[in-house]
Amino acid sequence: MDESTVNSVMDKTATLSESKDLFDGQVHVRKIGESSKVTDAELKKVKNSLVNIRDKGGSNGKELIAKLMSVEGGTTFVLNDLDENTTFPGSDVILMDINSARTFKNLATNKTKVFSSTRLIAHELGHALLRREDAGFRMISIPPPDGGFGFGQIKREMYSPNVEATDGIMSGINGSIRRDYN
Amino acid sequence: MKKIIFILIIQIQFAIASEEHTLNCSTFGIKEVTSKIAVLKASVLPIDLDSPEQDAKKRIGHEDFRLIAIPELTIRIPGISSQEDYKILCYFGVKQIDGMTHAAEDLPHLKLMGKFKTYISKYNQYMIEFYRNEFKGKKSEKIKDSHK
Repeated sequence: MDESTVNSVMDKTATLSESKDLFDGQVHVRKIGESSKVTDAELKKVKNSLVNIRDKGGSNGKELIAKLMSVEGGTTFVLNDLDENTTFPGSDVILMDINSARTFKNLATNKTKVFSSTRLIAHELGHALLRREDAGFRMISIPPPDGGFGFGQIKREMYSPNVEATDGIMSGINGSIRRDYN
Repeated sequence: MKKIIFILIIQIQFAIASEEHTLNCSTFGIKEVTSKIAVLKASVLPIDLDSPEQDAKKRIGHEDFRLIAIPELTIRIPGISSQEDYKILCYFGVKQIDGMTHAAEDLPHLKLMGKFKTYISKYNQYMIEFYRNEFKGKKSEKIKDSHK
């Protein structure tokens, strides 16, 4: 998807299709272009993914859906078929390709797995609603040898908060494990 | 007999397909040509978002041949799509630009990253063409000298 289209969706200047709503209007499902249309199959896929996250996604899933239900005016999912998945923390708009062909190595089976719509939606909601990053560094202080207070050696450790949280959700749904972003 | 051979071929193809996440450069007999000093030299060069090809030329001049990766839902390297392309990665290596992320902080960050993505596509394309025109088939030890 070209840069200007992504920007226009995210700054809400793009023309979108008529909205099909879910969860009492808390989720608006739309597409780019006035004449485009969200199909019943697409709507069902989004709904089933959200229900799975809520009902089978454990505490992480419940937290995510509770946050989704609390967004004033709801959250808009803008579907596309161009492998564009974009949002930013605090945004009420998410561009997503729920039929993404992107893959990851599923560590539960050690085999390649295509992103399910549920994993993809949980991942993007993690960014938008809970402000989780894909990858970051955290500083870990290893205590000094005498065991006293104060800083010892500082270790820089990479972690993947959004992927870890999404794995928590997926453990009750299909058991897939991505573990880290890279 | 034909059936057994057919099944064996399918199984071999499946085994190859299931390895697609493992990019093991040693199987190609390739050693990366971008040195640490080249990385450091290139790190202090400014980036001109309007001139990806010129930037690529400058970096080649400093022996930094690395392609640039974009962090999206998964990490994507524009221009790399086939097994043959993987050899380019093994020769040249890959880098990510700090501040690029799948989860933009806000709209200005998203817009700047959008510009950067366009830049990266052109930059990588230049590097890949450079590889194909100049170095395809050459041994990696010779690459460092032959571009001078």
